[in-house]
Amino acid sequence: MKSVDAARIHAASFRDPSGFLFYRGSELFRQVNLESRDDYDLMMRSGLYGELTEKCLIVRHNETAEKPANPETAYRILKPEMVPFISHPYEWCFSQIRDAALATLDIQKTAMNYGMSLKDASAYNIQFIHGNPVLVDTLSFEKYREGAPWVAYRQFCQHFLAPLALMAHTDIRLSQLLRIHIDGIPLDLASRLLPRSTALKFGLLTHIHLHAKTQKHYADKPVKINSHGKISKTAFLGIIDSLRGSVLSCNWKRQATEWRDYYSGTNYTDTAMESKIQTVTRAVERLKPGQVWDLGANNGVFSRISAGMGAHTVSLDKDESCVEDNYMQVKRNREKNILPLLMDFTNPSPGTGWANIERDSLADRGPADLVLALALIHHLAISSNVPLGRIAAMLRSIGKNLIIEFVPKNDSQAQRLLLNREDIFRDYGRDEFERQFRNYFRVRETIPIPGTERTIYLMEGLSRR
Amino acid sequence: MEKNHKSMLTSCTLIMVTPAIAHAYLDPGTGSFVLQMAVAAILGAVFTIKTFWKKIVGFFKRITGGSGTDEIR
Repeated sequence: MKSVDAARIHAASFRDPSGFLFYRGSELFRQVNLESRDDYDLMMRSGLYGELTEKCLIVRHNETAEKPANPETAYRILKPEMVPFISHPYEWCFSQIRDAALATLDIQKTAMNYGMSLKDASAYNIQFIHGNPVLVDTLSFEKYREGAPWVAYRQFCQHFLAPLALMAHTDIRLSQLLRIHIDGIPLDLASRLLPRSTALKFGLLTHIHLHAKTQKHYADKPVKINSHGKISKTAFLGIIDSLRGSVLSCNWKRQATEWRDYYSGTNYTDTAMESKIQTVTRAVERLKPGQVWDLGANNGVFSRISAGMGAHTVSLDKDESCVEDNYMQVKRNREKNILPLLMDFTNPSPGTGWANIERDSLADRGPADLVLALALIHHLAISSNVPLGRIAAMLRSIGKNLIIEFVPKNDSQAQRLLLNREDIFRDYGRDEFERQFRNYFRVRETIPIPGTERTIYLMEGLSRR
Repeated sequence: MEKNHKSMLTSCTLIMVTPAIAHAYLDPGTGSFVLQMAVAAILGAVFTIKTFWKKIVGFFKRITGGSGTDEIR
């Protein structure tokens, strides 16, 4: 018999008293509390859950007989479908945030057809499963009360509309403000950072600029919300429709970036590229990894090899344009196994939120069965001055196996990095690379890449000391 | 512009609502509620016109053999 005490409550599941997530062993469950019984039953019985699962807009679950984590407050215990990789909004590219926003509004509109409404609109409640943005918080619904405004309106604007507007109209990199502001970008800050011309757009004028001013105006006023007006259902739908129009009006006009045309700008021959593809294919065939992390994935050429062979592949790059291209490919080809995300390895996502454990760091979400680090090491070692030993330690901490491409100093791409700077990297070479990596990995195979000075290493992580 | 904003906000306070927030765990923000009240009428009207327009377009598409839809996407 399993012990009730063995339940471990999920670090991010504490704000909403409707219920919470908990682990028992490695299995994840959701407890529905008695106080949300009516809302949960309405969602399940009204047909809302059925329609949302059919549209792939909500995570599926089964009701189980599992022992509750807190029997005194428990109504139901659910076993939700597992999300292959939890990502955070500041790791999403522009179109991922936009699609997550549109999914949230679609869910809200569908809920209203069943007499329900979203009581929160947190971007963290959306996860990408099989390429689609999906609501993972089953307890986000409450009965719609005619006349009431949307309780999640502020949160939607802060979590979705503000970052999208800033990315589209100010600078694409401003999505990183979400990393600092865990409850979304404050609207007064968004309003200040947006160009004045955005006040000419009715949606942004209303939902960002006027919204920010109204918030400021009422911030220190003890207003009693008790009078005569009501928001009709039509007006409510009008607000949702206006938010949708505002989201759709945000478009990112992209410019060429350093990495976007990387493959067409490198010295790879077809033979070299083919050799790399074959090496990765053979390694994936042999290791049969469940989870692959492709670091510095660019637009996902090598991610698609492992994904095509059934491994869930997280395709990470620090360039917004590359991640955007990668995600658009996922959408276009309906690829189910690739999750493109924005990540800078010199400063990967830290643990954030309450006690720094509410949102997991990148390392906390690992280790991956296999890490790909192709054409990456010279950027970390030379551009970012990270010693080889530290790179090896970091890669071991996030992966059980590693495919890494060593790029020597005489390679034209490495030379490019050294063009206008002093070469302080006396130790950077194959011997030192092998010496440092052998402290953390067993080298299983080395494969020279034809027509280049580069070598691919297949490595297996040593047991942690 | 600043003056207009202030007069708009002041008028909003006069038409405030009694929202059913007894069970809300999220702080909706007073200002956010007030703004929704202020723009509800106009956005509701726009939505009604759009819905009506889509229905007309859908009707004509149907009778001319096209595929119409009533839903606003």
